[in-house]
Amino acid sequence: MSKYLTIDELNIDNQDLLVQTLLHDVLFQGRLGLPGLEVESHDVAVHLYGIQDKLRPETAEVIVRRQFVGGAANDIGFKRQASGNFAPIISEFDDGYSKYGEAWRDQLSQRYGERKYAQDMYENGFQLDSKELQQDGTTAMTFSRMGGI
Amino acid sequence: MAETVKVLIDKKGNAAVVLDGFHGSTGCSALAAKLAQNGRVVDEQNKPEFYETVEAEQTIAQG
Repeated sequence: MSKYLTIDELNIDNQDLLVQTLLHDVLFQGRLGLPGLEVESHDVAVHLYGIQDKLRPETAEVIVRRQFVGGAANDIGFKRQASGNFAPIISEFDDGYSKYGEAWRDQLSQRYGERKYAQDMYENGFQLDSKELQQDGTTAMTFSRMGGI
Repeated sequence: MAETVKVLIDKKGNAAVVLDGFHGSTGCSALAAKLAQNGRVVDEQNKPEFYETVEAEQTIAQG
C-alpha cells in the first residue's frame, strides 16, 4: 500500500475554482478533459480510499477518485489548511509512476492562477485580450477596459 | 481610452500585476494596489523578481 506524501500547500484557496481547474485544465491519465471525469467537492472533508478500496485515514474536501487517476492508483485529495490554502494529498505511487508529481502540481497551480485572475479582472470590469505562455514558462495575460476608473 | 493591465503568473501560481499606462488617477491607483494585494502575490524565493516588480508597482500606485 503506497503511503500518502506530505506535500506543501499550494497557492490555491478557492475551492470552486480548484474544482474547475481540475476538471478542465490539467491532465488525468495523460488527457485533458478525461471523459466522465468527476471531482468531488465537500464542505467537510471526507476519507480517501486507496487501492483495493481500502479506507485511508487521510481526509480532504476536494477529491479525485482513483478510477480517474489511473491504474492501481489511490484517490487524490486536496485538504484545506489553517492558512486557507489547499494542500494536495497524493500517494507516493501516484506522485511518481502515475505522473502527479511536482510538474503536475505546478501546472495545476498555474492554471488555477490564470482562472483566478481572469475572474478577478472580470469582476473589476476588464476583459481578457490575450493569454500566452512565455519562454520562461510564465503565463502573460493582458486585460483591458474602456474609460476611466 | 482603454486601460491595460498585464498579469504574469508563474508555475507556482504566483502573480505579478504589471501596469502599463495605468497610473493616471487615484481610482486607478487604488485598483492597482487592490489587484497587487489580492492574496495572489507571495514573497516567493523561487521568483523574487515577481515580488520586487509588484513592490515597485505598488509604490507607483500609491505614490
